Amino acid sequence: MDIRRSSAITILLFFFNIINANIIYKNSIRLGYQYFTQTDSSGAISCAGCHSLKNTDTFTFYPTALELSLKIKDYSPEYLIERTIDAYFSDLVMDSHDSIAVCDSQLIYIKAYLSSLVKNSNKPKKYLPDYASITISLISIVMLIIAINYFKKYKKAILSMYALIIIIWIITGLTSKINNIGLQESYEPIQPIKFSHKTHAGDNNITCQYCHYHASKAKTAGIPSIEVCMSCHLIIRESKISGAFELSKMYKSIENKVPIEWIRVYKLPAHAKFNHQVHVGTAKLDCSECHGKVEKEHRIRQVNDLSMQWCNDCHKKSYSADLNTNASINVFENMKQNCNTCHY
Amino acid sequence: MERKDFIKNIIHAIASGIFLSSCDKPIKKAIPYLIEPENIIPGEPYWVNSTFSDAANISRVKLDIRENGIIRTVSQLGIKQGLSKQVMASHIQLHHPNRLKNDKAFSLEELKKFLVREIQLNEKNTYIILSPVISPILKNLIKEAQTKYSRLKILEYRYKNYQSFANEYNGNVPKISLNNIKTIISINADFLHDWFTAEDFIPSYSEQRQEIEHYHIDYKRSITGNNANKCIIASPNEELQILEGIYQLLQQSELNLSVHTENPIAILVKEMVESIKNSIPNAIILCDSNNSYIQRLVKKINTLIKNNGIHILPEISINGLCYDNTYIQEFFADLNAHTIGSIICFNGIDIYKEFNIESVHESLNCIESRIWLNSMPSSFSNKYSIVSPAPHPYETYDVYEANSKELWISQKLFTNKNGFRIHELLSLLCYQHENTDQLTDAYLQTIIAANKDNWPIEKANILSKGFYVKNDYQIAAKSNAIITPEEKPNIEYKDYIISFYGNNIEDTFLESEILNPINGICIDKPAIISEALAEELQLKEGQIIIINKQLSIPVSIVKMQYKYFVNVHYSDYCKLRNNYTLQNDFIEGTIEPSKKIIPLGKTGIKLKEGQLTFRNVKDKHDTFFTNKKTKVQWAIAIDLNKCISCGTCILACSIENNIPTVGKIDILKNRAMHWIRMIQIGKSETDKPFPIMCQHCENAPCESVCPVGATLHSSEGLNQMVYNRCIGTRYCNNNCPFKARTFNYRDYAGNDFMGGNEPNNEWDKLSYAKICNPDVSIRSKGVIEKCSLCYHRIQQKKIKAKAENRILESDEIQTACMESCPASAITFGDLHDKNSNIAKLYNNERAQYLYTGSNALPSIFYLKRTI
Repeated sequence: MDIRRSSAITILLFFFNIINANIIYKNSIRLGYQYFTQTDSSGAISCAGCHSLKNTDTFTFYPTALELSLKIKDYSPEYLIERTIDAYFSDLVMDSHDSIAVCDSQLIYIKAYLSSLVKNSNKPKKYLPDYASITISLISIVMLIIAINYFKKYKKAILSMYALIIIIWIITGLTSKINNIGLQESYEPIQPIKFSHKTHAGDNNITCQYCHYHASKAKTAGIPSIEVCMSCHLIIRESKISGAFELSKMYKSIENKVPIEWIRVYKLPAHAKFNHQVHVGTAKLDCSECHGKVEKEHRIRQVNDLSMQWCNDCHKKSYSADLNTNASINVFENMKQNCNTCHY
Repeated sequence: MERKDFIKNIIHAIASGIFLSSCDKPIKKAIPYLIEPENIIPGEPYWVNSTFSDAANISRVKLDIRENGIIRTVSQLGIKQGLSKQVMASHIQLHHPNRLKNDKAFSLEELKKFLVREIQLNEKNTYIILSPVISPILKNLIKEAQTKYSRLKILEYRYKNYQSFANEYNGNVPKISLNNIKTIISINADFLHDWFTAEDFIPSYSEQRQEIEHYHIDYKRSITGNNANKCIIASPNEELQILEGIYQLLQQSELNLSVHTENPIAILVKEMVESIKNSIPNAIILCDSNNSYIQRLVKKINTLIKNNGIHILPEISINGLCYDNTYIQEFFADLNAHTIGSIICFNGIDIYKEFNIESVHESLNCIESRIWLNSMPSSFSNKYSIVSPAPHPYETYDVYEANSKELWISQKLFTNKNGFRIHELLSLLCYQHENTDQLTDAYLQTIIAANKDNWPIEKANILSKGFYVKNDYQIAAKSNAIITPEEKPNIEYKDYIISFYGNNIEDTFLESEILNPINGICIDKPAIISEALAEELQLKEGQIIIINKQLSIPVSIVKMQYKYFVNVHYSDYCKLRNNYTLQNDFIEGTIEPSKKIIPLGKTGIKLKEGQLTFRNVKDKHDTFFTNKKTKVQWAIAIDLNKCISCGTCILACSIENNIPTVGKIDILKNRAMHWIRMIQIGKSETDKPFPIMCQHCENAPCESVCPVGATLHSSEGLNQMVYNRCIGTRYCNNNCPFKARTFNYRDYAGNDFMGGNEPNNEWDKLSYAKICNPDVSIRSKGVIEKCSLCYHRIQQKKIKAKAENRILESDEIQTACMESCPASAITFGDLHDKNSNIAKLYNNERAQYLYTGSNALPSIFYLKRTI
C-alpha cells in the first residue's frame, strides 16, 4: 500500500476518533441530563425535582446538582452503584431514595452529566447588559426621530420636552439612588452552610447568646467557632430537614482544619463604630430590635437599612430615657448626639 | 479650573454616583476561629509581655496583639520606663514589606548543613559577628562549640562601647540610679537620649526635675543639654580642665588651674562643686568617654561624692553594653593574614557597614563565604555571598540576661519557618538537634529550680510576667578588666573634630519621619554643625560639605555647639573611621564646603514672629471653663519642666491613630501628617521645642468656616472631626491658628478606587493593614484629619465603666501620647472633676495657654518652664 495513503488514513482515523470520542462524551452527558431531569417510571419524581439545577439557594435543604457533583467527583461509577456515596449516608437519605428506581447504567450517565457540571462551574460568568433599559431607550430614540419627522413644525418643542423628561428622570433617579448608596435592606446572601436560624433559635429555643456569647461583653457579638457547634453536633449527627449533607461540611472543616467562611450580612461602614457590649450588655436591648425576628426565618436577612437615620431614631429616644433612670452614672454623656460617639 | 474641566468633573461625579448606586456591596466574609482560644475576644486587645533586642536596643515590652497582627508596643513598666523610638516601632519590622524571605536558590536545610560542614571541616577560621551576647543560652552554645571546634571564633561588636567605664568597676558596667538625686553633672553624656540606659533615667529625672540641679558640659548640641539648668559648650580640652578642676576642689585643695580666677571655667567649676558639696551623697557625675584617664578621674570624683551604692550600684551589672576591643584586633589580624574562611553576620551587625572603608571591603571580599543572617536586609546585603532570613525577636523563645539581677524573656508569638538563628546552627553543631526551645526550657528550669511537675505552671507564670528576678546573684570580676596606666591624654588637634549621633540600626519608615529634636530634621541624617562655623565658612542649611575628601554630606546648623565640631550620623561616621580599635571619642578631619545645596526634610510649624504667645490661664480663660455648665470637659496639660522634647509622643500618636508616613517629597511640601508637632516659641538658646496638637478650642476658628459641618464642638469640650462628612475644602486648615490640621493629599490607605495617588515612600498597603489600629478609622484621600484626643480610648473606658455600673474614675483614661511619654509630662483628664490630676494642674500658678491674637480658648494648656 502506498505509504502516503496509509498515513492519510491513519491521520483521518485519528481525527475521526477524537470527534467520535467527543460525540460519545457529549451523548453520555445528554443522556445523563435526560435521566436526571426525567421523571422516573412511576412518573412521580425526578432527580432535578429535589436537586435543583440552578445554583441559587432556594433553601430547600436538598443539595443542588452542583453540590452533588462536587461531592461525587472523586468516586468511581461502581462505587456510586453501591450507593454508598457518602460516609454520612443517613437514614433520611435512604428513606427518601428508597422508592426511586434507577438502573445502574443510568447512574453511570448521571455521573457523567454531574461531573460535566463541575467543569462548567469553573467558567467565569458572563454579565449581560440590562436589555430592558436598552430597548426602552432605543424605542424612545426611534419614537423621537419619527415624531420629529412627522411634526416638523414642533421640532424644537419636542426636543426640549424630550430633554426635560430625561433630565427629570436622571435627577429623580439619582436622588433616590444616591441616598441609598451602601444601604442594603433585605440583603440575604447565600451562606456556605445552609444554617437555619429557625431550627436553632425558633424550634429548639436556643438563646442568641448561647452561640454569640461575646455580645454582652465585647465589641463584636462573635460568630461561633466550630467548637461551639460541636458541643451539640457531636451527638446530633443528622438534621431533620437536611439530613447529614449540610452537617458533613462542618465535620469536614474540622478534619481539614479550615474554618468556614461565612458571608457577613450586617456590616456597618468602617467610619461608624458599633459596640455590642453597650447595646446588649448595658442597655439590655433585645437582639430582635436590630436583627429582626431571626427565629422566624431560616436564613439570616438584613431587616433594617442600617442608615444613620435609623440609628438616630433610637438614640434620640434612649437619651431621654437614660437621663431619668441612670442619672447617677456620669457617662450618659456618651449617649448625647455627639458625632464622636460613633465616628472616630 | 476651566469650564470644560468643571463640566467634565460634574459628569464624572454623576456617572460614578449612578455606578455606585447600582452596585451591590462587595461580599465581606466573616471567618471565625476554628477553635476559639481562651481569653481572646475577637477585636479586643490581647496584651503579651515579651522582650525586644537587636544590635543596639534591648527593652522589656508589652505588645497589643489583634487579629491583624501586633499593632502597638508599649513599655512593660508603664510610666516608670520609657522606650526608645526604635523599640516602639519594632513591630513594624515584623510586618515590613522589605523583610527577608527565603531565597529559593537554596533551602534553609542545605544552608544549615553547609555552614555546619564549613565550621567542622574548613581549615580556616569561621567568625560569627554579633552584638555582645546577653542570652545565656547562646553564651553556653558558643562556649560548647568553641571547645569542640577551635577554629570557630566570635566577634562581639557594638556601635558604642562602655569598656573604659566598666574597667573602673572590675570590667562590669554598674547600674546607675537617679532616684533622689540632687545634682547631676553630665559631660558629653546624652543620658536623656541614648547614652547608657537612657530609658531608665528619663522617668526618675523628670519626676524630680524641679529639685535637680543639672549642669551639662558638651561640645555638641544634645537633648540633655537642652534640658539642663546650665548648658556649657566647651572644647574637649576645656572639658578635661573642668573635670580636673572639680576633682581638685573636691579634695579641698586650692583650685590649681593655670588661669586666673576670672576665667569662666574656674567660676563654673566653683559653682558646680558648691552644688555637689551641698548635696553629697545625692550627686553624680556622668561622663561619656572612651578614654581611661578621664573615666578614672570620673571614678575618683564619684568616690569623693560617696554615691557608690546609692546612685552607682556596682552590685548590679548591666550586660550587653561593652565588648572587648581585643576581639576586633584579632579579627583584623586574621583578616589581613587571610585566615578567615567564612563570616556569619547575625543580629544586624553588618561588618561592611561598620567598617565602610575600601581597603577593609576589599579584604572582606576575599573571604569565601560571607553570610548575612538577619530578619531585615542591610544596605550592603548585595556584598554578602548568601543572604538568609532570620526570625524577628518576637518570633523566638529566648532568655536575655539584661542585667545580673533579672532575666528578660521573649516569647514565640508567631511561628516562622522561614529562617533560622545562629542558636539553631550552633545547637545543630553541638547537640545534633536544633530545638533551641528545649535548651531555653532547660536553662529556665535550673534557674527557677522547678520540679518536673510544677514546671508547666511555673513556665506559664514566668512567660506571662515576661521577666524573672533572681534571688541570689553574684558578679564575677571579668578577667579582661585591664588596668590602664594613668596618663593624661593628649587632646591636641589641628582641624575639626568629628563624632557621631544615632546608632547602627536603620530606622523604619515610621520613625524616620519623626523629627530629630535638636535640629528639627527628619528622614535625612545631615552633619550637624554650629552656627559660628556656618558663619565662618558661609554655609547654608543643606549645603554639602566634604569631610576628609571622602564623605560629602549636607549640613544642618544648630546653636549651642562647639565651633570646630562636626556631628555626623553613625552610618556616615563609619566611612571616616581610620582605626579599627575605636578607642577615641572622636576623629580629626578636614572640611571643604561645596556649592551644592540639597533640601532637608523638615517637619514642624513655621511660625511668624510673635504668632503664638503664652498667656496665663487666670486671665479670661479660667472663668470660662469653671462657669461652663457641661458635665465633662476633657483637657490636656503639658508640663514644660518635665518635657524633654524627645518626640516620642509623635511616634506613639502615629502608631495609635494610623497616621500614614508621606515620604520625603511630600515632607518638603509641608505635607507631613503628624497630629502632634514640635514648635519653638522664642529664639533664645534656652527655649526648647515642645509638642503641640489640636488645641480643642472652645471658640474654635475652624468650626465656623466648615461649609458641610464636618467639624463640630461636642458637649464634652472636644473639637470633633467627622471624616466621612469632610469634602476637603481645607478652609478649617487655613483658619486654624495652630496649624494643627493635616490634609490627606494622597491615597495612603489604598481605599481610593480612582487610583494614581500612591504616596511616594516605601509604605505598603498590605503591611499597613497589619499594623493599623482597628479602633480608629482609616482616612481616605481628600479628607482633613487632626488630633481627636484619642477619643476611641475615652469611649472604651466609658463603655467599660458603664458596663460595670460605676462612675468614670478620675485619671482612668490615658491618651496614647500620655501613655508613651517617658517623662510623664502629659496629663489628660476631666477639668470638672476636682479630684483629677488635671484639675490640680489647672490651678497651678504656672498654667498658661497659647494665645493667637484671637480668644480661641484652647482646652490644652501648658505649665510654664521655670528652669
